[in-house]
Amino acid sequence: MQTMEAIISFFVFMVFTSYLLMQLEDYNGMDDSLYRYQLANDAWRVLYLQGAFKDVDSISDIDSYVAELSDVTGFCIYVSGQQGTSTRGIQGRSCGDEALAKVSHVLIAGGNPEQVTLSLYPSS
Amino acid sequence: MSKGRYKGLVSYDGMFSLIPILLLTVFLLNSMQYMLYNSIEKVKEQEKFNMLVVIADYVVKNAGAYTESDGIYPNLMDQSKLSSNILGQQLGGEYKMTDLFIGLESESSIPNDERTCIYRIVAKHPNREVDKLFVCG
Repeated sequence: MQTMEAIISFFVFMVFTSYLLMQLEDYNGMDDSLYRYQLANDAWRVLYLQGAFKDVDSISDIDSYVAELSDVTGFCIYVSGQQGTSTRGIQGRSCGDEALAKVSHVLIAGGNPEQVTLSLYPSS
Repeated sequence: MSKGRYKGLVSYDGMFSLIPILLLTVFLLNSMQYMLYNSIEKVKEQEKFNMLVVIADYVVKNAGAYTESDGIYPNLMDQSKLSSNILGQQLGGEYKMTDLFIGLESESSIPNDERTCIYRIVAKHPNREVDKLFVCG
């Protein structure tokens, strides 16, 4: 009877440990949150360096810059403002559902400061 | 029934119980060892990745950035500073990372081996074209 109990316990333990090990394999412990945040800030900085924010009346004025940046980097770049105006960089390409990173900045649009958010999505 | 007849049965049962217990112990030790090595590998990978992120940030904001008399332009890359992997050799020695590669995607061939690579989005000086700065190590 004790032998049977030991064998059953052993198999239960084996199944449980295998499950734990599989979970461990699936879990990607790499923390790249800082890197993703840096990438989003890079995108914003490069747009600035290219002069995308000069004499902007509305966020749609930077459409072409965002599209070019999206093409080169391969990311789906999305810039949205408080007033509902927005632009998505890559046309006709499917983007991931979850943003890699988001950064908020103040943009002078039409002479008024506006809080805008740049979001970086993976293209799928 | 005397006590002596039971004693033998208990011993056999104990002996057979011992086998799964030993197997269980061996399996447990192996699993622990696997988990330990796995976590060590993960930590090493994370350390390497963090180091690459730090180096890339330093290059983007300082070492490889275009400078003028009035200051440094982060994310605006000075191509002369990045040619021939000069920075890679220089910083690789400082950070004790052999085979460190630092270069722009458009200017150099990105290593296609087992090295870990990350990239940053940059603009090139003087035409301000969008490019990727790769750091591999």
